[in-house]
Amino acid sequence: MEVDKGKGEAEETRKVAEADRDTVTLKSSDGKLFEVSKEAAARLSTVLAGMIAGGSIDDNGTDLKQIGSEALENVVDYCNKHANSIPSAALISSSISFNTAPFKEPEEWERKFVDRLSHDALFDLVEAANFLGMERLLDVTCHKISEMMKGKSPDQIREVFNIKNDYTKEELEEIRQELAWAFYDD
Amino acid sequence: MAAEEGPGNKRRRRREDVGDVPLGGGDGDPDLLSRLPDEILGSIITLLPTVDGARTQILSRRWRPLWHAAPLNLEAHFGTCSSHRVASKLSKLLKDHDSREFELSVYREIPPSVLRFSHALRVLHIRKHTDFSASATCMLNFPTLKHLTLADVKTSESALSGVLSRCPVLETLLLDNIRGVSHVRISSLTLRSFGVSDCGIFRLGSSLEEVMIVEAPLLERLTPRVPSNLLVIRVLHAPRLRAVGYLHDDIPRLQLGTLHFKIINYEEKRPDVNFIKFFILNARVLQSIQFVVRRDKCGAKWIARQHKKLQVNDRASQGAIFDFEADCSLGSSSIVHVKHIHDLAMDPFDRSLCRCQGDELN
Repeated sequence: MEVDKGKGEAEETRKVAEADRDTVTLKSSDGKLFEVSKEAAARLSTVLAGMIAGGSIDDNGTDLKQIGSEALENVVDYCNKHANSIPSAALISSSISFNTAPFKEPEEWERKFVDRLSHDALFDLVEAANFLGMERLLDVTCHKISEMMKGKSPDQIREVFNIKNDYTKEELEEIRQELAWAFYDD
Repeated sequence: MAAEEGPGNKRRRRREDVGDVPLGGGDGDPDLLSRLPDEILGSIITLLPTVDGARTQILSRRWRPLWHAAPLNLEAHFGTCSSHRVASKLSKLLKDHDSREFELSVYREIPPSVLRFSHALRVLHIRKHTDFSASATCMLNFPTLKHLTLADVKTSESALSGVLSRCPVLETLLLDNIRGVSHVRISSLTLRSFGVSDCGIFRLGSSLEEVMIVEAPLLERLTPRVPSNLLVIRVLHAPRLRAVGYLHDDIPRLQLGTLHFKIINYEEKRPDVNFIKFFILNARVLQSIQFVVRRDKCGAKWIARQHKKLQVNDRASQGAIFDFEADCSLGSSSIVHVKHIHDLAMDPFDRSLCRCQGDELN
């Protein structure tokens, strides 16, 4: 990808050289610009891959009106970290390799990546990943949310996530009976 | 250009149209979780253990229908004193649930009411089931079953081949210490990973003597697990087979036509050397052998010595390539976890990615 950088990459030919650039510039809803590896963006996001392939990438920053700067910064950070983590993830192999599709469970760095996020930032990131069609990032963030719910009672979960219980008393009783098996050891 | 309704994301439908409000600006609505689209909440429910997943229905009205539509990971342990109670609850649950994808682990007796749902199973792990005979299984169809484990199960050749023939999309199969069967023949157009073990000691019926892969065009991995007591393995037609192992010296005979080898934990021990040397001197269609060795070895001198020991200059396939590489992972266990037999995305021998706990060995 970076083979043909050319010698005279002068300012005026920037537009032409743009096609050979190995990063793309993304613009958040509040106008901040972020650079991300083109290869990683195309590999991790179906939406960005489509835009890159379709030539709808703007040199001055592709507008992502639905994504705020904090979420976009995390997206870009994730893409760049992902690009860097690949060689260490597998044995350096030569003639034969296995089908190395991403491991389903989050890797150590991915856990750390989502663990440091605030509650709000985590949910913004889920929505950004969903919008950009980033399956892997969605898996990692959903996994984090499921970890936050695991082993908790409905009351505890409501508290953690501010979920409003809008059932009537009767409805609640009915569901509880239906789900008796799930509350068996309570 | 702005990225508007971008294509290509199954889960991306939003529950509510938020218009031009930036995703990051979640003010006023503190329940960020319930704001996520159905598909994402469904994925989260699927990641939860069965009971936790079902309980999400009680959170709020928003959550009520989600569980019914989410694929489930269902774990049920039968064989305890309350098994009938669990079984009846479980069959009720299976009937209520809309999804056609279930993952079911059973111990001991499988209640017939549960097996009526065999058509909806995607994953089935059966352990210590006493009756997996032809009469008990002849009515079972598994049109959506992708992963099957039979461990410590008493069965018969006809029952086993009958069940396998009614799994038209089976991708991974593990036969751990099955009894009552001495010869297994595997023919599957969809199978990609196959694991087998046989302890040969505590046998109630006859123990497994021979496994023959007759026709498995997509088979990539063949994993004899410890122990594989005197188990003969023959592969007649598996053109995609890329990984075999771990091989142990309790396997007296392995016959296959594969072209590439990756030898993990090569340690220059005499049985290893003799075994590999045999391949090198006799295999006429060998393309490569890759040796994974401990990091502290693997120097040029050491490799040269191995070349000599293994007599690579006298190889039967002149074009064969021999590669040595250092193992980045720690420890040297030759155990393949059950999970890795069923997880096709993962290199079963790459322990650097392994997070299995000890109890997941079985």
